[in-house]
Amino acid sequence: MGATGPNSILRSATCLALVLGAIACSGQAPTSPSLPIPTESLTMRVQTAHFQVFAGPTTPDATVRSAGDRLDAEYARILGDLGVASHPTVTVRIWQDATSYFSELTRFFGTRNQATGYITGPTALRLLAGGDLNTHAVHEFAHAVSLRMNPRFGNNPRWFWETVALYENGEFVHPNQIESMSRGNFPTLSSSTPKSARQSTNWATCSATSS
Amino acid sequence: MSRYGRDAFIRLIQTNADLQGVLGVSDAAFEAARAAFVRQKHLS
Repeated sequence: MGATGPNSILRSATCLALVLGAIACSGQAPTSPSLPIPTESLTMRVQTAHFQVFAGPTTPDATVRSAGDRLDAEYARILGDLGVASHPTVTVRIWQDATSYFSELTRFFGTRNQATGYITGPTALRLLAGGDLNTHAVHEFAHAVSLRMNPRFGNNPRWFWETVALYENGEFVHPNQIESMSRGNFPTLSSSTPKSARQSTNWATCSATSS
Repeated sequence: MSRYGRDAFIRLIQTNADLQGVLGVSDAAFEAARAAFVRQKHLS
């Protein structure tokens, strides 16, 4: 997932349009007030040598600890691979509640996507618990380190942005598991843009696999 | 990585994957080489 910042202008314009639309369409006050949607509150649960891990009250201690330990274990290797001497302490936020997670993701990016992990900068990882959380965490950390190496690197180009994270995280996907590649159809670099996630992922897999 | 080395990998990150500048190959040549490598290593 990328590190592109929220498009506040677009978001503001969208909000304004929604408000104006609501005013234009309603003509009268709503008969019942809408209740605020509860959001998962995160607190710091684990502090490791290089990471502060935040999570909600329902995320098991073992899950939080495991993520922090795995990140700490991979820290020196990834920095060494990428030729980086040090990296600032990283904040890791883990949501258990998918609604809260995607609400925050949508607020940050200004649009909804299905990513179960993303970064908001070189020192901030955000993750949805479930699945292979530790693998997702290290993937996002690799993004974070590469973004610190080059602040303009996020999703630019997307195929290599993802290649670096996949390669550093050892996320091998056999090309036979990607339908187009198994048929011998390889995506072009020019087809790899932030809006063509599938093509970008195929290219990243191809590149990481053959590196 | 095995072909160009770690230093090139790092420079590609720093240059937003400037294939011509770092590796001395065009996008088209890189695409062809990648595809050939993957076919030979994983799909043959």
